[in-house]
Amino acid sequence: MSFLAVAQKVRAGAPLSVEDGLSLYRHPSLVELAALANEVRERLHGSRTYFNRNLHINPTNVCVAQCKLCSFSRRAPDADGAFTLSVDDAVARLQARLRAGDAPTEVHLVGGLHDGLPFSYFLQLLAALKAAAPGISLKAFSAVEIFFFHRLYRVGVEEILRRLQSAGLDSLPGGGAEILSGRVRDAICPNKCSADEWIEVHRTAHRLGIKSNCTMMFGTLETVDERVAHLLRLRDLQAETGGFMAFIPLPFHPENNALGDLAAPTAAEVLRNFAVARLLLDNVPHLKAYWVSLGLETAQTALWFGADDLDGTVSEEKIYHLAGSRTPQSLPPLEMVRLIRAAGRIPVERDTLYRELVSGGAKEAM
Amino acid sequence: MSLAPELDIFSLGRRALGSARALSDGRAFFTSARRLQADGLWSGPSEASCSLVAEEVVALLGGTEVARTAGANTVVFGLEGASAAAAVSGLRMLVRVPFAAGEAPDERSRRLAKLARVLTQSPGIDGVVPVPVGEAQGLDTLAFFAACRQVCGKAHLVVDLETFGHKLGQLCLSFGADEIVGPIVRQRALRLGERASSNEITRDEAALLLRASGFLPCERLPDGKVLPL
Repeated sequence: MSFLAVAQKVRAGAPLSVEDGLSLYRHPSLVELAALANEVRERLHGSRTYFNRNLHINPTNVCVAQCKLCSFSRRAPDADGAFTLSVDDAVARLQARLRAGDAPTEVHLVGGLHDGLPFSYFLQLLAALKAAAPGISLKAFSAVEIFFFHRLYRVGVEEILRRLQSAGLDSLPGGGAEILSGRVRDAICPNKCSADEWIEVHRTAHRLGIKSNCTMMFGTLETVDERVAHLLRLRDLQAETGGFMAFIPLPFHPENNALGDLAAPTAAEVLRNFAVARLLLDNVPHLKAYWVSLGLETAQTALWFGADDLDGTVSEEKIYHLAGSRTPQSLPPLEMVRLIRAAGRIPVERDTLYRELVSGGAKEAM
Repeated sequence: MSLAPELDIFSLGRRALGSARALSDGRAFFTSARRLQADGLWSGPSEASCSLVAEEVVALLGGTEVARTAGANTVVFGLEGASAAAAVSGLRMLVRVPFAAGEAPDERSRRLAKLARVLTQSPGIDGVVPVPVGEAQGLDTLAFFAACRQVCGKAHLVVDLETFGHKLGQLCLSFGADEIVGPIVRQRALRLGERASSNEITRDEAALLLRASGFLPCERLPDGKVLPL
């Protein structure tokens, strides 16, 4: 399939095939690819570029999975560097932001697969955070964690989600998808839920009205064919449920983990993945450039390679920084606005569900 | 600051990349570099094939011959001093061109026009090195590289990895640059202690940056010859 033929399909709004995806990954000109992805981005969102005010809380880094790609986890609760926050500790982090007059609209809550915590801990965590800031949106627990709760507590996935939802869960983050391929998962994260199980958790969440994000962590052992298959699998689920809000390409970071011999994906490869994702995932509305993982300049540049969202102000990010990310720990809203404007885009503050907000410092800047 | 609304980054990129590929027949270059400082000491890998000295440092040290004796094989001129570049023989000559995010388009255009004149007047200049004044922004940097490519003629458009880092530096290769210089080493020391924030990359990593940008990687050797990898 020629690039021109693929471009014609894109402009006609026709979904792309596996062969189209492969040809995009192999297309020699990154700039041509970017220009086409940008057409789709601007068709969907014009120049509007989204960000939110969020707070990352990792309740624990104790994890039974011990994935080779991870720099964050510790196997035992008493291992050097292991931590588990009390509910009060977690709430204190949120309250510190509230006291500082920097109220987040979202808490992003993900952690390790700790087999020594009762399910009530997670329910209390959600309820306490919600009580501390009733209007806040809790985006919590990746599909991997949800499936782990199901197995550990011997409760069905749907019931787990219902109980979490009752305690305050609003949406699911997209992590843990890695590459939706048994071959790759067996090699890099054999103790995580399978690709089918990851998909099934999101399908169930969407059925319950819980929106979610989806991700692809690329740059380890996967082939280009497996990347394309991953993207099309997400597209198929989205066609079925419509529950994904954003897709987030995540380049592998090789520091401090068991895959440290691998080279990190280069910036050109990262941006190629953004462009291809924007073209293949035509039914997922948003493409997020997670600046913590990408670095500020690459994230800013991604806004012309299909991305329309820079994620949030973050604060206290641990997972990528332990894997070698050298980005700041947080960005104030005005800095987000400045970065987006500097890229020639229009900043729009949003909530978790991409509803537009105009408030506080961002309003002054806009 | 923002990009000018009429800026078409993709048209700029297409033209610049096309020019760069035509110039070098699909090849791009990586050059391990160290720098001579005003105190006469070198910074950067001792194995570097390119030993850079800025024209201001040449003046402080007492002239080109002193710098050459110290081991310099490349002089980097400012735009103002570049007209004197023809007088320097036996050294590779580069010219740096400043740019600032948010500067007026007219001001940038005038500087690029001056660069074009300098390159015409001093045909011995082998490369152009864009240098940001203040913080480099991603998109603005790419746009400036693309604009530079249009006036570079046969000169190489050089990315200084110490300035831009390897991420933004690599992206410049899709916007007209055809050479990266910086602390490129055979084997990287562990990022521990005072090397914790080391920005060294290996030759293999440098070659990957070029290859992943669609170029045939070539290493520039100390004698100026290039070695395809």
